[in-house]
Amino acid sequence: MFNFRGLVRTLAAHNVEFAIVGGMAGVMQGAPIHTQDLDILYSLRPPNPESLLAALQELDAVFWGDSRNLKPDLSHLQSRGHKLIATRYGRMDCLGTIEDDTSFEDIEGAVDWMELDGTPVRVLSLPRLIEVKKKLHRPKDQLALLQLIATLEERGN
Amino acid sequence: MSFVPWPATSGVYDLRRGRLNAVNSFKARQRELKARSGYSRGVPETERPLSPEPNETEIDRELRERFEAAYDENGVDRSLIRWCLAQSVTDRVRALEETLNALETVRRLDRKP
Repeated sequence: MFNFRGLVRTLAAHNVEFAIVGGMAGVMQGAPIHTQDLDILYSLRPPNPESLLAALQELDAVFWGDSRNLKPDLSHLQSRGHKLIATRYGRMDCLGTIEDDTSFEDIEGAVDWMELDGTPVRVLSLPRLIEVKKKLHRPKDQLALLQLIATLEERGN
Repeated sequence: MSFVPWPATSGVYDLRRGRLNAVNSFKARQRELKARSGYSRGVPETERPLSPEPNETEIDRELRERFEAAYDENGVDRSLIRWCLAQSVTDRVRALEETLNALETVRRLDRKP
């Protein structure tokens, strides 16, 4: 059951500092992109990893693809790497950094505040998202890039 | 080109029949695109106008012209982008959720004997 709005609502309820990046950011910015997970870039500054952990526990989170159903703990969430998580509302990738070593604090000037089901949330801006996608070379990223650039043009930015 | 109507009634049979029609229509279109050049890794590099069919009706012509006008030179459906931009942020995400959940339902039905 995919419920991205439920994921965002839960994160916000636990005061997690995060920004939506990746395909879902593209969707929220108006691009007709198909994505099956929610990518978030979260702040590694305490007590944010603790807040994220509390939200993940409420979401019955386990590491995606792990046959042992390993649950993420605080040490996992304090690391800068990508954590691929399965929750009861769908997949969520929790990213400590994006690109080479870009943190949540680094992109704070490149986010738009949007309201999702009444919940204010940071979303990576469309021009910045295009920059990120340009550095990725998988075919799906290249296809998404065309959609994102066309969306930016349609918005008249 | 042919347009596949969504099943008029709900139910497993209609859902499966609608899916089958959609798959056949998709495959036919893939064959048509592949027959032309400018096709790489399963993705049309450029959407060229479809040639009019000999017995094209007024409605078919209008649909074909609308279809052609929707796509840009990269094959991106601009009309879909305009539709997305006309929605609220919440509605954009809701539409994606509904699509994914519908696909999940079809997958579940397919898994059943």
